[in-house]
Amino acid sequence: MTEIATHFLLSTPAGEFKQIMKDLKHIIDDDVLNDAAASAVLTHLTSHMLTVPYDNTSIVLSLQNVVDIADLQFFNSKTKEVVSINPMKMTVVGQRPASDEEIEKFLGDDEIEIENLIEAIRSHIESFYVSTTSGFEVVIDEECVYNVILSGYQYDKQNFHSAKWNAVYRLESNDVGYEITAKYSISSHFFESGNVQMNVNKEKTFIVDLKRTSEDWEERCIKRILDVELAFHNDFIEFYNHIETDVFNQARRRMPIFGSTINWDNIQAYRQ
Amino acid sequence: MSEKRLQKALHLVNTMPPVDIVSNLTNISQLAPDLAVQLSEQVQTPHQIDVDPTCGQSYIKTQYNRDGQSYRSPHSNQYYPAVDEGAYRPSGDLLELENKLNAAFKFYTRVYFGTGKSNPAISSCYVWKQGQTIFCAIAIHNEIVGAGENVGGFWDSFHLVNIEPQGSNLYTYEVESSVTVHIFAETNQIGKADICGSLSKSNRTRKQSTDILSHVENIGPLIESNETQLRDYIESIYFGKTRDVIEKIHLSQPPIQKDAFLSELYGSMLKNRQSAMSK
Repeated sequence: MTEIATHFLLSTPAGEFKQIMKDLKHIIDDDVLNDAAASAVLTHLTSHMLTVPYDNTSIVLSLQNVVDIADLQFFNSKTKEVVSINPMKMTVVGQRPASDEEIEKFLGDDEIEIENLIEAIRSHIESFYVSTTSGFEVVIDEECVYNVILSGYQYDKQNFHSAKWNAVYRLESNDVGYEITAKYSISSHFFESGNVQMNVNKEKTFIVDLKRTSEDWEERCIKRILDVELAFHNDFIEFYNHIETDVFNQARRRMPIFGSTINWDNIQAYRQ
Repeated sequence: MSEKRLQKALHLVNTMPPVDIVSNLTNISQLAPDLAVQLSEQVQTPHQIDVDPTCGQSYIKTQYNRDGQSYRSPHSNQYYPAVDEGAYRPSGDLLELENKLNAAFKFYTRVYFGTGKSNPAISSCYVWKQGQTIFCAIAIHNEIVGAGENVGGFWDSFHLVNIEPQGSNLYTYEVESSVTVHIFAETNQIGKADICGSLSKSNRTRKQSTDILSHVENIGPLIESNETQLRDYIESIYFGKTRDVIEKIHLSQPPIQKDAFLSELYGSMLKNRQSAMSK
């Protein structure tokens, strides 16, 4: 029972965890529900890269900046703090300065580069993420490679929809500059008079021929990332236009092939 | 309490990814076995297709042509695998209505889903009676083919019709319609994309009917109207609203360009207004 309940919680669209918990509360015992929620909540938060408001900005909850899984603590790369979150209320319930070890683990030994990347994101990319629940982080991973993590999501119960846009860029330096691996995850859910869900997942790699020693490499790198991200968004729009005009009509025409609705009073006369 | 529990279970299933509807129904039935039958009646699952061995024609398997593990073909009125002679088979007027519905919807699918000459879609109609009320289940399945490399999907629609006599050859026709559409693609441009969902609506009318054929003439427009409205609604949600909602999270063009466009538009409007006023 716990396994099935956990599966349902893990399959929940972005930001709807609490609603599914309320449904399950009427179906299974509280003990089973609590065990399932404990198993699933971190994965729900980090797989959708949800954000929590804090200090006039937001903290992105991802696997790359998790400090403590049990206590749901995350590293805020903008302020070098560790925050604890309440996953049901999606609020920060505690914060402390990060230790030197934590700072070195998440930001590496060149804090100036991280600061420059953060500043470049604020200048060039942040304005494209327009929902109130959007944010970014810049951290290094276990291979000491920069990860730029961008996320926006929205849950609007009154208008019956939720949606998210996640982008993670991994900046691996090489002899010619940076090889950047981009991972995009976009989804939406409409639940007025039904259940409609869209998912798009794309991974691509591109090269930025800027060496780490180049002047303003951080800003120029972020601008290049922005160009690639906008190109992907426009590809997404073009794909949707193609599906709407070319594919959907093959699912079912709007009108019969002869251009008018069927005359049902004369149905027997139509050729079989 | 049990009604609320059913509503919560339905909400849960209808929030899960629609592509996993079959496994989700199985899972929720394990969590709440007491709700299994009601959930299976209210949640539409993708149509399963079989072939009638007597004529080679396809038909759709639903709970309304099922007896145990066997399904009745509307082409031969036989169950496959075979069942006891006591299993339900329509006869007389009900069989005539079922045959006429199948013929009518074979035409319907040809003109809405086919090319006129070929008809890729499958339709199946099943009729039964409870008391004075006649029930008709109409199922349609269409595979999306030829839409491009690595692009595909399907359209499933299901309509449950109640025909209730009101006396003096007057009948109430009530239709509950649901449509499921699934489109998937894998391209270099967009990566892996999946759009899936189901919507439903109901409709009713009161009409005169003097024979079996007039039942078909009364049911047809209700279903055609429901399907077209659902198609329009699906199109506006799947494509229009999805694009809009994503744009509310992530812009597709720089914000300053949008402002510049609006400034230019406003400037043009002012010029036109001034020009009109000076005449």
